[in-house]
Amino acid sequence: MKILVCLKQVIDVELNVQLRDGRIVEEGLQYAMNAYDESALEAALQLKDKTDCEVVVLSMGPDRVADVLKKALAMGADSAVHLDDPAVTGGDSYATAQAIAAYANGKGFDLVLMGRQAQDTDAAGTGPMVAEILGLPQVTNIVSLEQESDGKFLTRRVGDDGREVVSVDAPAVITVSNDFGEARLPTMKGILGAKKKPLTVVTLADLGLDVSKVGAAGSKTQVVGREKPSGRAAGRKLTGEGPDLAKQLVEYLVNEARVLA
Amino acid sequence: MKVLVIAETKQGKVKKGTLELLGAANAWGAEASVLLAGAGVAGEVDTLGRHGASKVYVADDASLGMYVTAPFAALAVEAFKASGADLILFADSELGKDLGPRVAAKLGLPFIPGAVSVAPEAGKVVAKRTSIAGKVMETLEAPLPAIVSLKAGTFEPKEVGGSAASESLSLPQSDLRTIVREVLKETSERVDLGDARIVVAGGRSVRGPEGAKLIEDLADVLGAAVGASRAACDSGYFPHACQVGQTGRTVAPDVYIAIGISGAIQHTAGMTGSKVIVAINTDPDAPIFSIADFGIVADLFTVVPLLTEEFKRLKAGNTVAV
Repeated sequence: MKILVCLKQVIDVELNVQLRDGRIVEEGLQYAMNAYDESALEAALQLKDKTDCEVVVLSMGPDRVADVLKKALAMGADSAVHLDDPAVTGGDSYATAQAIAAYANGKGFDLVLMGRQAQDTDAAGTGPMVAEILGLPQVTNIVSLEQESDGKFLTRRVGDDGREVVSVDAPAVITVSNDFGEARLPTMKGILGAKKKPLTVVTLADLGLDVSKVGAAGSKTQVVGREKPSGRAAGRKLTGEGPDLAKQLVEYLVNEARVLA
Repeated sequence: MKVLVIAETKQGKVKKGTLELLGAANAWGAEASVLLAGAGVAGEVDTLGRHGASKVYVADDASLGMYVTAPFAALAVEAFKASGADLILFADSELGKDLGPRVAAKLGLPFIPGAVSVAPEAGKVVAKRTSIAGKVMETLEAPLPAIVSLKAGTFEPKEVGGSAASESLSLPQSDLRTIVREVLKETSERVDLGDARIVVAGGRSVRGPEGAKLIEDLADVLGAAVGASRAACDSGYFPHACQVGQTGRTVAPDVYIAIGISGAIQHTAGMTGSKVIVAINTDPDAPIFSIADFGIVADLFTVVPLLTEEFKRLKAGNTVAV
């Protein structure tokens, strides 16, 4: 079995971000592997734990992206591919999907896995778009994954009305929830072993993909401004005795906010 | 301006999120059509008409009883072509997240997910959405035709008293590569989270089944849905179907009562659209208080049963219909 796991390097969303002229200030930012993609990698590695399986990881972006790929190799991926081309920057989900599909096409992957969304954009668009471009079935937001004896994959996904048990034929595109479970940490042996694993750098030309298809040029949507959200203001905060607090809240909801009438 | 709304149903009834999308079309004075796909859903054409749809494309068949990507994507494409829409609207639900980008790629249209405001202009759509864990509000533009998914509560459903013409769509060819074998019911008899006017949500501080019961009792007296933080679901206090937040449901009820929830962005991202937010927490510095309209610093085990009693008394006294 051969699995492609797509990894995005995202800015650490726990840290504060500064805006200048509608752009995020790059100074002081720290970067990490998108946590949802980490869950996707864990899903792939769990299959590899059980069966004969080759796990290839793919990321795109500038030099720093190599950090994410090296971590993935240390966690247990077999090889890494870095699409390093200035033209890929600033792409929306569609432009990103074009690049992933161009890489995956014709390479015989049984599964293309990625996180259900990226922590920086929360867009959740790339997986289904890759599936459509490659003409493959998709299952999104999965929390478990196993291969059945007939080669199909059995998943559980979280849908709007509860957990669904979904089977899908290979090849397929599957996106993984962060509720899949904690990803493994790289071991010392893994970190040392990663140095001997192949990390290949490719360009758009290698993929036969025109620069007009990716990055800002290939995007169908455009970010025209960024600002700090206005957010909600804090209201009142009461302390005191339980019975009195309960009465005051009921009074507020019924007579002041008038939302219980 | 023509808008196509992709409807979602549960047990044959249109969800509130769908009526909110029609509310958006109404607010813009747009001509609204709807794709209504499912099993036993044709009776909802009237409801859609009353909320402003002028045309409903119906695909009502037992095979559409459970959502699967391929047939719904094919139907959305067919409805798009038949309607000549400038803008397709999805709710930012799990269905919307699965189907919206697939249909966008199929049609080669721009896709703006999870918008919190949308304004169609001449030849383009302008939308706002949050990124970087709620720390940044982005403004996006895309040329029409385009696809946008809307966060719950972005627009209000509104009855305008119209009626809709309906047209049946032929069923798409079956694609057996993906099969939903079953849906594991973990939702209760209570009102659906997405449709609820009141949500009572519990966090990690409920500490166990007894604390969770207090949340459920309060929800029941209010006729509310039960929500929960991810931590509380992971700890097994509530089923995962209750999870509100970045990776759970996005809700925008009239009242959201957050109990024992600290208020991390991963949770609040799913509920800041609520009209009134009430927070109950022992920690006076909990971030939830910075967005709450009404905060109570107290132990939930003391104050929640008192609240439940207070609302029971109110209902019994009939001084106000809760």
